[in-house]
Amino acid sequence: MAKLKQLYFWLLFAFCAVFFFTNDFGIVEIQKTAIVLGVGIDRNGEGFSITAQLAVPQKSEQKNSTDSVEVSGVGQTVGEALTAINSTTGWHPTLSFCNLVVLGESAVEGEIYAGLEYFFRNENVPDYALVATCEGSAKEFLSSKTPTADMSTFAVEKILSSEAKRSGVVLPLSLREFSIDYFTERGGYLPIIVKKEQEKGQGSKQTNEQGAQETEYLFDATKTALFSRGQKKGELSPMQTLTLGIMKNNVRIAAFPVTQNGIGYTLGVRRAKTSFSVEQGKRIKVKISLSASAIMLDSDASHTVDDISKTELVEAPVLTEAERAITEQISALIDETRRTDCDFFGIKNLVHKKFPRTDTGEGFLNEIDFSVSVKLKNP
Amino acid sequence: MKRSISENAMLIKRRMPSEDILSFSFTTRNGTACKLFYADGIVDKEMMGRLVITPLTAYGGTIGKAEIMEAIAFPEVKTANRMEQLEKEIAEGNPVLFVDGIATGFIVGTKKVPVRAITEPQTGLVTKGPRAGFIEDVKTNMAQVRLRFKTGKLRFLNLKLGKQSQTNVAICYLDGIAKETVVREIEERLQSFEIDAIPDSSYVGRFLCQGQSLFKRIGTTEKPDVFAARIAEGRVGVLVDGSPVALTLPYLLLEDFQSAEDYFVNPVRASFTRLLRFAVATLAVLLPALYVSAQLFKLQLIPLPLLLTIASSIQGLPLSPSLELFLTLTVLELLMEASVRMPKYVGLALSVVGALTLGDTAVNAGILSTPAVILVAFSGIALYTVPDLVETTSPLRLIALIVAGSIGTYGIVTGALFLLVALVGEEQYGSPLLAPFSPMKANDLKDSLVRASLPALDRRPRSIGSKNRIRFKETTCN
Amino acid sequence: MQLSTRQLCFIAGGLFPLTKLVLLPSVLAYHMESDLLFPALFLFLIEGLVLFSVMHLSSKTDQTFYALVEDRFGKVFARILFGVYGVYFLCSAILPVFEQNLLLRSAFYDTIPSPVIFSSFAVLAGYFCMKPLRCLGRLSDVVVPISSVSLALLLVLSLGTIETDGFFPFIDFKANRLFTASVRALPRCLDCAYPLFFLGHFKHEKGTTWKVLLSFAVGCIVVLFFLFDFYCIFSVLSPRESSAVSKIARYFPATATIGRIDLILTYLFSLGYVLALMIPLYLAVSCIDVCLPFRYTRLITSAAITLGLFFLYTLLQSSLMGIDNLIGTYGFPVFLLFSFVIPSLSFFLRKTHG
Repeated sequence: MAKLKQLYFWLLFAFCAVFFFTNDFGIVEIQKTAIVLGVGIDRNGEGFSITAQLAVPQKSEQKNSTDSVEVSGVGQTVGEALTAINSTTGWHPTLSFCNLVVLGESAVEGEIYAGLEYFFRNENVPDYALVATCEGSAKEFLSSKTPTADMSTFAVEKILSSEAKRSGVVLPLSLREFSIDYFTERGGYLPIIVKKEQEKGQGSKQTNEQGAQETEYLFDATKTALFSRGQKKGELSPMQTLTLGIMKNNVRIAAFPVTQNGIGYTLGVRRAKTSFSVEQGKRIKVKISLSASAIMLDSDASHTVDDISKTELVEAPVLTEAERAITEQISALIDETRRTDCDFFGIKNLVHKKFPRTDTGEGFLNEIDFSVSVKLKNP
Repeated sequence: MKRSISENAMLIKRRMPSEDILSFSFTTRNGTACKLFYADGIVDKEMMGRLVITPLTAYGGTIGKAEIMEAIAFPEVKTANRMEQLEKEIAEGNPVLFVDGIATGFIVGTKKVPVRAITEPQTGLVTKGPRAGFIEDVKTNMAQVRLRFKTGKLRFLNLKLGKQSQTNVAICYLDGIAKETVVREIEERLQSFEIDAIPDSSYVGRFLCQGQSLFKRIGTTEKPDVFAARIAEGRVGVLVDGSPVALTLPYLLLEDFQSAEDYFVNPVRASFTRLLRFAVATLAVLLPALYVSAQLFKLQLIPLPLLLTIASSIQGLPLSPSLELFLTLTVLELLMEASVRMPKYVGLALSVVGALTLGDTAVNAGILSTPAVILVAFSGIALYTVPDLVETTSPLRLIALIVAGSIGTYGIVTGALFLLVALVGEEQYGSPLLAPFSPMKANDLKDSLVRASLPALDRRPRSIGSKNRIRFKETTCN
Repeated sequence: MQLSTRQLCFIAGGLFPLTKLVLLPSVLAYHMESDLLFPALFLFLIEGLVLFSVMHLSSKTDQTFYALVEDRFGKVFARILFGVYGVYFLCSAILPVFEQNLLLRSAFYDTIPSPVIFSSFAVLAGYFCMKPLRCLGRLSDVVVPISSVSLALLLVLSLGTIETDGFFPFIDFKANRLFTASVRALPRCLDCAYPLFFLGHFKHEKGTTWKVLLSFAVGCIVVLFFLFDFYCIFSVLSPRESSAVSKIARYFPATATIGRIDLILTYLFSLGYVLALMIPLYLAVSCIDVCLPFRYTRLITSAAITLGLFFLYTLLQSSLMGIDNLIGTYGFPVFLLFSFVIPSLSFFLRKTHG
């Protein structure tokens, strides 16, 4: 029995050693792997054109650096288009680090989830990847040079980071969150990334291999696209995005502009709590209450040292004006949600919980009476 | 034996013709012939002259066994009638005196074996605590243990093992604390095997443990204070003549993660260092395997910035990650082996060559990558935080690498479980190898990977199975 | 005695719940959506009752289950019953063992792994099945604390992501959905029968029954909390999220900086998970060994399991859903009989004379 055991162990070891040294498990070594950091989706007639931004590590004499390259593929479906990349480059694209999926204008014209479904199905794509739309084509967007990061993907990750989210100016969304919104028929929203050409004199322009100067862009994601039932139905302006961000995102401090008596102020809104109460009478009534504290960040008029030292305190008229401005923005949001049927407040779910028999289908939001109450106070 | 001194001398010479067996003839004052046989180099000739030759040359009384014994007046004098025994005593370094007319050999205990001084052992260095170590002479070692237990309960059982070497082996235990069944079992096992020579205690250790295993089954130490502490816990110790490494049984795997110094520093520090040793030793074994499996099977284990750095470093390398690491580890083992064996005067030069070749040149030549070199260097150093387990962890590291390189991260998990399945079944002398973790003994966990304060360690470990569990009692001060 | 009370508690509370954390959450979410706690609770209550019956039996006798059956029904019947149980345990282990594939693809590999990697599990299972029962107890002493702490950490890391909006149920589900969900979940809730085969191998002391039941209850509470956590994170996407345990903690913000530490925790969790998967295989070998008590039965059965599992996996690895459907649909009466009815009725095997 002891000899049998010994034989057993030796066989086991030999088995492992054979596979170790032949390395024939269909493994793709890292040297043959293309690390996909971001993917852009455009429609190409009946099919899709996919642009993948790959990180291609380079060994240089001075230091190891990472270059990026954009590779495109075309196919009937997104999966087919990605496979085409493998066949043209010989690299095996790994999507494990794909942190950004950008949909070009053409991709959001039709059913949006047709482009995203591949990433949702694929186990290897992290579903915490950011999803966004862009103006123009996603291919051009990903190829853009930006001074804020080595690659456009990294730059977008910065502007849609959790820090930016906590400032309220952007409404970043992950693939998981967007999918939940899509499948619960809540409708969904995605940030729209806009390229702004960098003004002359602001830093140096990049020079490409041919020696020509390339334009650099800064990215802005303060506008938000609204979707309902997979179709794009509208957009939120930057102020509306900011207001929605304050309501939803547990902001650390959101800079909200207010004008009072011709003087412009920037208030820092903090500790915002939004609550929704639902009542049923002849029609369903939903009351949106927002309470927050506000501090004075800046104003365009000069103040005395005493006034500046009281940074935390905002004068009552300014607070009142701020409340009015926020109420106005919330009302605009309510109009948008009714118009687009994009339930970004989650009203349907709330009503369904409280009054399960209520039909919350298409057009339901138009049958609700909304009232808004905003309370700002000094900390 | 014969009465005639010349016949006895002839018998001895026939049995021991070697040229290092010398004899010295002298007579008593009344002319009785005497002859001393001794092995050159392992006898204290001065004492022999002072205690045997001088008194006897001055002795003029009757010649008899008792009279000769009285004349010598040295406490370590024995008599024997059989030539085999006399031969053994001469070989051990005890001179044998023949007196004409007496059919008895007188064995004088003036052995003087060349031994080295008691120094701090290389394998048990401490910054705080005793620095004495065992040496090759079993009697000195026994004395060091005796000095630590000034009680009649300390017992030594002396055995002679090895047909040719007749090596002295001493089983050491505390009566009333160690389990008698363990003592008996050790004694029986030692006496049950026949071997020509015992050059080292590891031979004895091999016979004390049944079966083969990659893991140690017997505790070892070169320090008397550690030996004494283990005896006090209820273990049984074995000292072997000719080896500075003492053995202790039963053995728990946990012992090697503990150091003597842990008991001389405060408990928080001790706990921290024990946990660190355990964590680092585990990392040393698993890190190369994880690195390879991350590269080949699961890139997400590596954060993206680090992954890009690694990917840059390995561009253009001719070897796959698994082979690269396997070769680097093999070269590291080679370097370590060579550094132990090589003469000191070439050590420095070859160390530089080894470091430069592996470190700088291989990386610059594009044969190895920097992360692999760093990883292997870390693993090599980390392994020596638990030096007593290096003979186990080093092959384990290679096995883990092979498993990870062929099966991946799942192979590491199943391999670890495989190892655990094998280890939980290991038991020697009634103590499981993984105690007190498996089977879990809650009280023993106080002195495991953490160390509670001394007052909390008032019970002997249940895992050892000692008879008397109470170590100390706190008495109230008035 | 081969097992101690503590080890039994570790097995009941630390190993039994682990196999319920991979595919079961998505199966329940598919059938019950936000009400997924109800079928789980229902099954756990039934399991608890069966467990109570078995532990109560252990308090009345120190004989093994085989000895009790042999006393009552004779040797031949006892051997046949054990042979049938051996086959039953083997078959009931197939689904959970193959479910591993989901965990492997999610947490261990970036690409679809070669079937050969499963050989490591097959070899491990074959080796483990040759060991005595005390090996299981001792392994649980080491592995359960590790996997429990890992699971706890995974849950803690996932807490920041949960959104309870979509979860809190209102009781509006139909009874037939509850029944369907329970039937489909049943193949993963068969642990209550295992302690029946530990009878006679542990000493029933005062309070053993309650300690084991309490441990089991704690394990069930952890599973229920996990289900809650899981649904709060994935909401309507839950039916798609197989391999739940490897996914809940990946949204922890620090993973972007320090890497996927949740994967390391998943690997540590897997130590307990793989051990839990091997328990029915172990019991199958033990039952067959009792049924056919020849010298090399255990060795041959273990080797047969090793090879059989490997080949089955190679053939059927892509058919997990098909196997799930088949077993879920047709296996229900068999599971009910062997894992619930017989263990409950075994209480009456105890001798009632004084």
